[in-house]
Amino acid sequence: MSDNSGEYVIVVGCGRVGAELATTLSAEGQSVVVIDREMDAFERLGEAFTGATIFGNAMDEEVLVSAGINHADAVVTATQGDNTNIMIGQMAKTLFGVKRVVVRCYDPVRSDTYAALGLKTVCPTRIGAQIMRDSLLESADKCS
Amino acid sequence: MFVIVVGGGKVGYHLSRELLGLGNEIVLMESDHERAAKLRAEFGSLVLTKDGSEGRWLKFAGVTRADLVVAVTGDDEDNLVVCQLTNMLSKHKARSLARINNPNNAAVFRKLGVDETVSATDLILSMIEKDVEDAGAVVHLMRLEESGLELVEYRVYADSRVVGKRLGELGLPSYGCNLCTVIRGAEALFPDSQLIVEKGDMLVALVQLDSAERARQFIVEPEIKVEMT
Repeated sequence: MSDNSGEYVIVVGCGRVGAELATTLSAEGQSVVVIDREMDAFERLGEAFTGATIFGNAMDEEVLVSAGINHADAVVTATQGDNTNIMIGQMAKTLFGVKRVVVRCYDPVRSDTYAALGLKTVCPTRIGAQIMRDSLLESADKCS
Repeated sequence: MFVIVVGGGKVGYHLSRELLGLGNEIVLMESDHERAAKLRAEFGSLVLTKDGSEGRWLKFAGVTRADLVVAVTGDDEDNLVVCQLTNMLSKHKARSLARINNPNNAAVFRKLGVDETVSATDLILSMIEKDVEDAGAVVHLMRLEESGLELVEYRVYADSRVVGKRLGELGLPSYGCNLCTVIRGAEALFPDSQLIVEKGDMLVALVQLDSAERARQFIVEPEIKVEMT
């Protein structure tokens, strides 16, 4: 793993995952901007978060520009909607030329489809199911 | 034509009705069960209670053989994904059309490979702009309330249907429009029936108030047909 500290990262969506990720990255010394269209969402950010918050809809180009997307090293989309994440991820990549874009996609099929198009997708459904399966097998081993 | 309509809101509902009325084959996709049940009362088995932005359901609806996929949900991001999936899944490159709610998204969609978008905001705005433009073509000089007449000046644009025609063949009196003079440059010409209208002319006319709109349409608007009553 390379040392990514000091990078400029935009996290779209400040839900549980978005807030946790933003706090972790911030604590690791990266410059983090979090965007959410609910003001209350920022309350989820941990004490270690020292980055900036932007209240607005990230599907709006102006909001992305105000978040500094033109000099962002990476963008992560983690809103509740798969399609929202896909659209913003594509905007970051195609419109603003952001090199590293990671898109959360709950639906495994959609995740695969867009991965085939060159979008880096993360499917929590599949990952969650795999981890649960593994720990199920592990507990079965212990019982036997 | 086989059309898949994604989104069963007001737009999707009316669009489906019209498409069926024109003799097309359709499938209407609406993921909300309550809404879909209402639609099924009218469209029966043509309604598919599935999310059209999921590839597997779009395939199930028949995207591989569709001629056209119309994405008219209320969420732009859903419409984008429907059109992108159509581009990927359709074997013979079905045409896809996306409704956009935020007019700024037309440019975004184009850059992301979705060329055909329709924005209600833009459509209405273009009509308003047209009205504003036309208003510049009509100057209300004087209103004669008691006789129900108005003295109006019309500017003749190059695309006006009256350009190149003799005044006598225009039939302006049938629009309640009595021509007083034609102003060409700095000159006021007598409205002889043989006088040919040129672009840039200003037609000054006494118009009956109740037919003023028809007269305006006839002189100023090039495309719209005016029904004679």
